[in-house]
Amino acid sequence: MYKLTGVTRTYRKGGKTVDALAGVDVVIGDREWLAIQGPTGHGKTTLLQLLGGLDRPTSGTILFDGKNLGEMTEAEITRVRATSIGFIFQTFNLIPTLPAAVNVELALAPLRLDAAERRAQVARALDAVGLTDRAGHLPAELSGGQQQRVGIARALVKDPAVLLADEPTGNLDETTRDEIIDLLAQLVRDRGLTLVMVTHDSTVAARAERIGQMRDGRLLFDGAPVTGGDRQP
Amino acid sequence: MLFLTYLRLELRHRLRQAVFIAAGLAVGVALVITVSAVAAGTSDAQAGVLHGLYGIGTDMTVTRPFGHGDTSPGHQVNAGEHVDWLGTNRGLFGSSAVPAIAGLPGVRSAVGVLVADQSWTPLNGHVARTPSNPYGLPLSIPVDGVDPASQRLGPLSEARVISGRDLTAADSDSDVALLDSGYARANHLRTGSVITIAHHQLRVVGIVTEPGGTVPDILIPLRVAQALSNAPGKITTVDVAVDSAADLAAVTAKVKAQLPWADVTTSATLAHEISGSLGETARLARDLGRWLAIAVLAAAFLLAALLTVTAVTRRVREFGTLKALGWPARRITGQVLGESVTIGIAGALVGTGLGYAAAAVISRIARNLTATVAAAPGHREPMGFIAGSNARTGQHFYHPIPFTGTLDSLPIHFSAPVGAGVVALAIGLGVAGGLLAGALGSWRAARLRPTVALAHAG
Repeated sequence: MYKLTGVTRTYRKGGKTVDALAGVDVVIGDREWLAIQGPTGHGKTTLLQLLGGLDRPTSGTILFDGKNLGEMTEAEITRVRATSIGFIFQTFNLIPTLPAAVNVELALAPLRLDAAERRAQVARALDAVGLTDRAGHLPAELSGGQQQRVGIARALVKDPAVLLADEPTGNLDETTRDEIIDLLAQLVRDRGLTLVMVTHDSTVAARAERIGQMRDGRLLFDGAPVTGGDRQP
Repeated sequence: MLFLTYLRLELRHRLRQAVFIAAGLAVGVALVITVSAVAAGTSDAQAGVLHGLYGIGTDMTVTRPFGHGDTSPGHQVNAGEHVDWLGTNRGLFGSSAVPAIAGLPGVRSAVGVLVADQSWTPLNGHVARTPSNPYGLPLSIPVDGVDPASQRLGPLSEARVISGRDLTAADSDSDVALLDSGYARANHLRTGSVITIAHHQLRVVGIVTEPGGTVPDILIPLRVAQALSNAPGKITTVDVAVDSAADLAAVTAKVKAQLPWADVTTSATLAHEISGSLGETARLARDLGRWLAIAVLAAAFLLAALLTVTAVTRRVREFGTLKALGWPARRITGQVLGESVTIGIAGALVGTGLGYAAAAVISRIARNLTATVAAAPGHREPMGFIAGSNARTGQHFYHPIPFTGTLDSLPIHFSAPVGAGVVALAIGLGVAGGLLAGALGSWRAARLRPTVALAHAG
């Protein structure tokens, strides 16, 4: 699915240069569940944003299904996000003024589907996360776990190839955390998705097939950087 | 439709702010409509006044300044108890000016008028004080000597016969007169009555009226007026109709070239002569109203823009999320613009209603304005003097005759009309306000980098 080679991302902050990513090489296979752990400020979220096409690398290449995200136009990369990548956020990022169903429907807006088809897909997505009876509720009327389920439904409704989750259980209690992870695991398995998840929680990370550690902008597996080729994209 | 659902729910969520912005735009739009309506009303009223002063179809008048060239000739004074004479305080000039002007390129027609006044004063100079004449001023009655053959231009074009008949070409040398209905009523005169001007009797052949109320009290054939005022072949005014309004300036120049002494007055110059409450209203609408409307609109636009940008700033993470979901920048721009334009349209509609209401209230309050106008431009000098001696006592007298006929206070039926064009302009302004605010807000939203937007504390 992904092949990253020599990916760096440098920021200018307060007159200083910050290397958020200092050369990441990794291959993430189709249907793989990769967990990324590491201390705060070592580049986990930056890596996730580069994988999602929300940012571009300073150097190196990010191949997504064989296409270099760094060389795509803004319109092309927006299209990739709209069709192939689903995001799940720690703080859910639901639009507070819109009911759950409309929040989910927002992910289908760029796809130019007719209204009936959109509504059918939204209903299926909400059913998949067990929130059919909460479709008309505003986010403020839902619990944290329910809000994250809406977030998952929104990420899945367009039937993407990849889910990128940034601390998806960071704001949930343990019971709810386990429910959400069980749900994610089931959906990823059933739909054959690739899941890249950033998490501080070792319990959650342990559910993944592979765990990487971000240290000083580098991604390490078993204490050593991946040189590539252990999984084919 | 998702666009409308999103828009509706978003506006409902921040209803108070939306109402606040719309109210600001509404006040601005209402002011524009009100000021435009008042300006249109005053323009209509001015046109009405000018119409009354000029007569139908008159585009310009040609006069001669008083005291230059010919002056009012001697008067017909007979021995008796009073002086009754017909004269004019205006500059006299020969009737030959009429064909000279009529022959100029661009002139459709021209007609000469002798604008005069009948003065009636006791020989001892003392006029009895009455309720209608509390200061004992010498009586002065406006009399126009008109060309009876000219019914389409000049004073006769204004007069509508309500009793008797009009003057005709056959009356050119007849001792006949038309009376204004108000004058006739006040003096108990009717068709068939006999009046005396300069000790000369004339028969009333018709009673006339004129909507503007500016017709002189007495209209008599021009040649008769010239004879009674001892000014044969002289006139005071030429009323001129031109082929096209666009030719007015060119014709004015030609008249001045032909008659260097002439005062040429057009509707544009006469408009400046209008004063009184109508003039004040016009000036208020033009100056204060215009600037007030512009200031309020500018403030409303600024307020709308600032509040929209503030709202966008609060929604930074929301727009970052939409970008993560694959929303193109133009779609986000459209969403923000849609919200702002909807507010703008709401403000424009409410403002249009308010503007209509304000115009109606003003029409009701200012229904009876007055316009103080010069009966004819450029003639505010004293009317003249009566000097002489009493035939019986030998006492000399010298009595200035105040000019009483130049300033008329005309009632104006004022209304502030709201035209379709003004409504379209107002709605356009409201939408423009929304677009301006939305453009600023959406520009900010669209240029947000997704990573920055998502990191924003929501």
